[in-house]
Amino acid sequence: MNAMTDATAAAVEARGLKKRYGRVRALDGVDVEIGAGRYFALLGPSGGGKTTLLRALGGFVKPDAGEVLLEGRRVEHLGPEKRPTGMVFQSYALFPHMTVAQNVGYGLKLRKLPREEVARQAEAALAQVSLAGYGARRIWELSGGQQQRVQLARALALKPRILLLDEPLAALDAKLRKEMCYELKHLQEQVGITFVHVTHNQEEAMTVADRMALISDGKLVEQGAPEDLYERPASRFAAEFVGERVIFDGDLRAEGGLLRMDVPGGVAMAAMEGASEGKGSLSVRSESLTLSRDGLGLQGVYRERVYLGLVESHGVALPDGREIAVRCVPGTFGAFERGEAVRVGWSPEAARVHAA
Amino acid sequence: MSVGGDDYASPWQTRLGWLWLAVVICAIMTPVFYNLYVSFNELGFGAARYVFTVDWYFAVFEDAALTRALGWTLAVAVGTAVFTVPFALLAAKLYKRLTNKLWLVFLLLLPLFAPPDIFATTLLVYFKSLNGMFGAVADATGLPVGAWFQLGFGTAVIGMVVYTLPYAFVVILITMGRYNPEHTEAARACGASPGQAFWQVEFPQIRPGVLSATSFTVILVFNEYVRSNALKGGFDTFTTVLISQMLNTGMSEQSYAMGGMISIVSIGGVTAILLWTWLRQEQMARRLRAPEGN
Repeated sequence: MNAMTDATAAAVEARGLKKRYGRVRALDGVDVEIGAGRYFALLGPSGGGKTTLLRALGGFVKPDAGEVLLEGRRVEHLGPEKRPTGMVFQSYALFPHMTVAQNVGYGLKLRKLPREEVARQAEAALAQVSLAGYGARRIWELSGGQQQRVQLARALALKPRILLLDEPLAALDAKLRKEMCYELKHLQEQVGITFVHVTHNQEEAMTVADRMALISDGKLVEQGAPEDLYERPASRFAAEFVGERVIFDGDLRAEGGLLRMDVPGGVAMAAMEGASEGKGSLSVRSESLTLSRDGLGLQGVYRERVYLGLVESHGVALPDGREIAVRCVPGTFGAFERGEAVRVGWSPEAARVHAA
Repeated sequence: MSVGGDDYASPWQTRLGWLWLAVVICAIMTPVFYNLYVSFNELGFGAARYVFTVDWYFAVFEDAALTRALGWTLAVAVGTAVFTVPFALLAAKLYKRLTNKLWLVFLLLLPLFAPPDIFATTLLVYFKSLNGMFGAVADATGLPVGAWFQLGFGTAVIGMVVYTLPYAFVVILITMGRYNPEHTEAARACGASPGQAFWQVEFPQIRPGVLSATSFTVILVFNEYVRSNALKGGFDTFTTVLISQMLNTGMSEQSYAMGGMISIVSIGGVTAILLWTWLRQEQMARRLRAPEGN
């Protein structure tokens, strides 16, 4: 399931991209198309290959095999300076021996623009990231968030048609990261160019992206709109990685227009929706589960309640000892005692079926 | 009520540590300080009275043989630095790029483990063999190749480059260790060629290390005797003049002054490098500690 396409005209294409580091296969035949003007997030676990893919697109890694096309042009033989891309790094990578304005104007100076024009465009780029008037400052006089904005300004000053962002918010604290997510999204809408954003943080990916792809073990597992990957994951990996889901593996059989699977504590059910019988997985988002003392659902033993503010999480042990979490708005299902027999249910339409 | 004594109350461990350090430094530096002491005495070595003067230092520059030696030493030092520092820089850059770094470090540090006299005589024999080989080639082919490795400035510089390269490599490597390679990638992403990225972004950040390596190389050349003596050919350096005087005519007052000059330049240079490095580290630490701005 590696061939992934985007309906809009492709700004970025990778075909059969492979890269090895010794015995580690960082990219294993990745195919991806990213439409022009998209905010595209590459999401996946650490070591999955997402940064290698981004660096291959930017020219910082030469793939062992495969093609990289930027705006329809083969570029895998070109260095980073010859590609229509800008890059934003996790470590900010601002030049400490230069002022903020010199950092932002560095690429413009390389283009041999007149000094006044460099200064004007650098100041305009700083204004774009809400840092007008900061040009004379030194890098160490800025906070982490400001440094990240300067880096963005440095990249945007060159008016790249594709901006690559490698874990750009990973070094920021949670509050600032959230703020920067919105700023990045608004900035992308404002400039209208293609953003390719690598992150391992799914909340960050879902906040910024209008389309995202999951990468694991060097393979592009699945891509789609954030809502699709969250609500309707096709693969078991997506179901496990995006959001919090309860997943059962086993034999699926059709019965009464539904798919059924015998699981510890009862029978799990899902709507057919084109899925077929046989070995597979069935998953339900933890916030789609219900908790009650009687009625339909899997039998379990109540373990504990964890208050998380906006939601609460109820832990329930199934007969095989496995513990699952039921998440809800606090107070939705009432209070339970530790060790009490409970039932965990869901609507068949809320469940997803994944092929083995 | 506390049990036992305060483990942190006794200052003796620290005091003994400082005392030991002071004894070691005195043992190492006493001959140097004694040389300096004699060099500033108008009445010279062994006199019952001490009359301070700097005249012996001026007398060094009135001696044609000594000033010639100073000129040659400077020339060899500059010639050595011109080759050593770029080679060390290239080696350090190669080190950063390699996955298996051990063999490079081993090869580069190997000259440090060769005793100076063996090192010098081996190079001497090597140069003589090369001259013999070139002579044979010239005789056989009529090509205009000659004894290109006759002892002289070139052979002295080659010997010093091999000697100083490991030190310069280590000094540059330490500075490069703090350099973030993503800066080079960021420069490339801004449109810089690999050369531009190096000169405009990387070099300004590793410049202290390069300058330290240059100073260190010059100091090493000024202080080296065995290799200089074996490979210099027809000229003299500071140390060869000094040792020669010691062995033949005994130390003159100018000799003490010359030794004092080398000591002052060396100690001053090393102290300046250490101070500079320390101040830069302090500056970087202050920047890191600075509160998040605005």
